[in-house]
Amino acid sequence: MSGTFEELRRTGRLPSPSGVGARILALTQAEDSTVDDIADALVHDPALTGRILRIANSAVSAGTMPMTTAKAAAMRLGMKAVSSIAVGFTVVSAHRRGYCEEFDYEGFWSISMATAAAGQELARRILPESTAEAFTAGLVMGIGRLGLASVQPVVYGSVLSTWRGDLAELRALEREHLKIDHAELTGLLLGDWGIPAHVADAVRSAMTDLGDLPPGPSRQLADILTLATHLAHHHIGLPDQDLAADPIVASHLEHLHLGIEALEEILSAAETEWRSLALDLELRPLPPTEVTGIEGDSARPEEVEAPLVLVVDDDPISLKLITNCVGRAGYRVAATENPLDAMALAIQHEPAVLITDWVMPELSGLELCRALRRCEVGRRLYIMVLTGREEEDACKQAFDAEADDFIRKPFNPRDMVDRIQVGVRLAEAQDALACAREEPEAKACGTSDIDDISGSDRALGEESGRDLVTGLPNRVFATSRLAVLFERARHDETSLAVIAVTIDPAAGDLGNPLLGNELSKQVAEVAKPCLRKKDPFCCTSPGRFLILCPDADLLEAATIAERLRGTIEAADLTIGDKTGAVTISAGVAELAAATATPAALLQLAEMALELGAMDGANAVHAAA
Amino acid sequence: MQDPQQPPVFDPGPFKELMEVGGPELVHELCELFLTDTPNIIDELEAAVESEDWETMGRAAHTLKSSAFYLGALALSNLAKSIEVLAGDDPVAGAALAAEPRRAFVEVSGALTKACEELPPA
Repeated sequence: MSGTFEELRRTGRLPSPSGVGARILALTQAEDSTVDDIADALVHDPALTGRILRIANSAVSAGTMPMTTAKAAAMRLGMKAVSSIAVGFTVVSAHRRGYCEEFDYEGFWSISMATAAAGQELARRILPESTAEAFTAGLVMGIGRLGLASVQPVVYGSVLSTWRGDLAELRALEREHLKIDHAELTGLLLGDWGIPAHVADAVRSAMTDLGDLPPGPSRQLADILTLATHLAHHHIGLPDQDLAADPIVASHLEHLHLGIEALEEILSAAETEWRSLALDLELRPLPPTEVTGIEGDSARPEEVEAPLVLVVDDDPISLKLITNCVGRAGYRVAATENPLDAMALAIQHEPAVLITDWVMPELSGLELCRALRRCEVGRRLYIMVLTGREEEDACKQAFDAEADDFIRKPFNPRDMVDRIQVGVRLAEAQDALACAREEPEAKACGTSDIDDISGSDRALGEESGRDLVTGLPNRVFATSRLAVLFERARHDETSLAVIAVTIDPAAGDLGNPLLGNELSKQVAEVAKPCLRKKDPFCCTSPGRFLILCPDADLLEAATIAERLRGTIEAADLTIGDKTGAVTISAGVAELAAATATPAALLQLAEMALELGAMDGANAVHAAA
Repeated sequence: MQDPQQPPVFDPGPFKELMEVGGPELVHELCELFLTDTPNIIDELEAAVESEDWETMGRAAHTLKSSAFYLGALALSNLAKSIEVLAGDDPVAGAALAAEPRRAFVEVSGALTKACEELPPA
């Protein structure tokens, strides 16, 4: 199941915290953050701070002096709790619209707040030490459904339109069509965001209505959440409340040792909270600007604004020099010496490129990179990591943190200007690709073969960059990745080769879609282990594959292709009733001075494959 | 006599390159930053040695290494690089070098100030 979660995550469309929420999440993940850091981050979001103060104060006994500062509240609640609230708050407030037509985004928003308010008020009376947890848990309980609607708007829309209203039935439908249900997705997302496990357990138990937790605080929290959910759906904000006449409420009252009057008070307090919460979220501002100067072409008219490059380096000399290089490259620049501010700036200004130093106090460049890759804006960024670190594997570490480029310090200013230009061009190309993917007609560029996967699912596969049959990256991914590798190889003057692979037609009847899919899957499985890890292996259409080989010349790529051909032949794959008849052919081409574009390189490999096929199957052909 | 194995206190090469890339304005600004900021980094480095905080010692040396290099203060840059590497492998040996950067800074700042004065005004 976690494989399914990984796939969903790779689409880059799962809900994620933003602004101060993302910043606080990064802080709690960095090793030596303190309550002071959290309090400093909170300063930028008064509404969120106000909310945290209310929760912190609601849990202290009457007569105690109320807390008035973010720091006091953070100390009272603990860093984890504050982080959880910030995450829940920013995720829920950021998703008031979406692409799934059958999903009620405004309703989701409103119910989430009502559940949070009811959870908070119930816990305040029944389980005061868990007030903050009940609030957060209530806020994020619906996040799994939002996640499914965000990642698979079409499929989930059709699931919702067949659903008749029972939650267990909805989960079964989700598993059938999406391989994962909203309760499980909620749990995985909460884990991802560092929400404590006992809270996640209570959420899961309340959502699945299992009552499977042993007696104790988690069980009590789960019971509170179950009732809070019911109140949010059926009572909060609705006129003519008759709580006593609701049989579900009655059963819970006994369970929680509450009287009906007490519950009426709770409901009224929860309604007040719900309205104030709606106001808080409505008014929630964006993180502030702490730009030391957006330099460059302020004279440009707004409609042709140059791309923005964000630079973070704690050394003022490097910072000055890099910002100068960005200006010379012709772009706008925002600069800061503080990596924590960089996080907020990236989210607020959505730059095309981030250039970050590696070794910095508080948050390293790699931590910043990882934290940004967890949120939507950060996934679109082109990130360049700069380092003066002496270790040999520094470059690998940077790419492992999902950086796009790596530059050694001290750098040559001229090279820097070039690299920045490459970065901005790639970021723009990626952006154009993402836009094209949103256009419906772009989906037609996929496979023409009919198979057992419905059109809409195939389209979703296209969008998410995965081929749904083999689970490999698809043609869309291959094209964008090749563009990046092409630019990099050109710039660094390194080699690059591509291998186009087809399953030989004699092997099986590719006209039969079921056999074709099965065959692609089997070949992909056998091929994967014999390829180099760093070479993207993509399935471009049923029975056809593409392998991108950075740093490989024609000979090396041909060797890889030959090894693959031999492995497939030796694997004795079975298709239908034929054993051992499956073979592949490959065409190989390398980047040469005359290769003008990534598409041209691709075409060379395809041509080698087509021309070679005339001479017979089960062979590797190199482009002339 | 300049030891051929040792990098020069001041190499005008990177300085000229900065001049070509960013003009006198950038060079003046960077020099000013270097001359005012470097003593603070050296203070930090020395304090770190005093309190045997090797991580901070390494980080301060790391910063010094690049910023000195950009302006052609190669002897200082090299010294900082040695301290940075030693901070990880043999911090006591690194700490033994910690008095050197200040001397190297004083040496190079004269040359740098002079080179700046010879530039056209920003």
